[in-house]
Amino acid sequence: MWIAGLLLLSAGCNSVTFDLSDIEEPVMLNPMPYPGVSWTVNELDPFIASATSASGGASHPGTTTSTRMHEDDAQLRAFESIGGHSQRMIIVDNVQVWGGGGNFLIVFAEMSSVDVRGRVLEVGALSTPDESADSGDDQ
Amino acid sequence: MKSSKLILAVCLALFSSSCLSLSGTDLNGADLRYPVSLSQSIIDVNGAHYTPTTVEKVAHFKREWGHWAMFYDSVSLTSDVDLSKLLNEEIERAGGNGIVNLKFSAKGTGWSWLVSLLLVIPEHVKVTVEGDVIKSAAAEL
Repeated sequence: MWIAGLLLLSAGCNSVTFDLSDIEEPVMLNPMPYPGVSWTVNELDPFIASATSASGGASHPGTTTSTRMHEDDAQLRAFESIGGHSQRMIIVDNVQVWGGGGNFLIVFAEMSSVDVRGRVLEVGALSTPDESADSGDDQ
Repeated sequence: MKSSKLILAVCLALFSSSCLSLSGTDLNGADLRYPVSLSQSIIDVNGAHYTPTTVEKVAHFKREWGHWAMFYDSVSLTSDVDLSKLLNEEIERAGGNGIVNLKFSAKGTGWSWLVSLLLVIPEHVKVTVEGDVIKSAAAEL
């Protein structure tokens, strides 16, 4: 019975996907992807978004409950940050993928999450590396 | 005396039954040689937004790996994956010049609640990265 319970809980492990494929503006993993070409950019805001899945319940399989939260939060935050401006984009600085769990007496919880940190930039004029050096832009 | 032993026993029981476990990994694209976007569009060479069409998507890729750690992620049992290297390889293998719709997934093991009780058991998270490789004139220098 106990083994069956363990198997049931293991089968019910949670997963989550950070998916911004509905966003029409670029969410770039690299800010300057073309060597020798750069743009003047104006940094507007930090961008922080996450997709999280959590499950929890008492420590026997009959009462396990599963909850998904913040899964659409990432899309919403990206929409809000860019706001339909064609000159804006998001630069992703760091992606953290993690999972974990915990117990408190007979109550357990498990969580999987993808956390993304970056910046919202407004793209300006195209500039050569020499111009960037002269103007002191933080390219 | 009896009551102090009882309090000690209760404290030990609480400590042993109230635990956490954690495993995680950091990823970044600092050494990418091609434009990579998490959304459906990229920045082209002129700094403008560009959305590739379906005919420019030359391949879909999916890579998975596991990350193992112990003691609240303070001891990592697997080496970190170089995301830039992985994505550069996928683009070059498919003969493309960029990636759109890059997605990240995390999947727990289902035994985290047990791991948290027995800290000597490593915690595991399965990481999945997938996306569409494109070959577009707009992504060429």
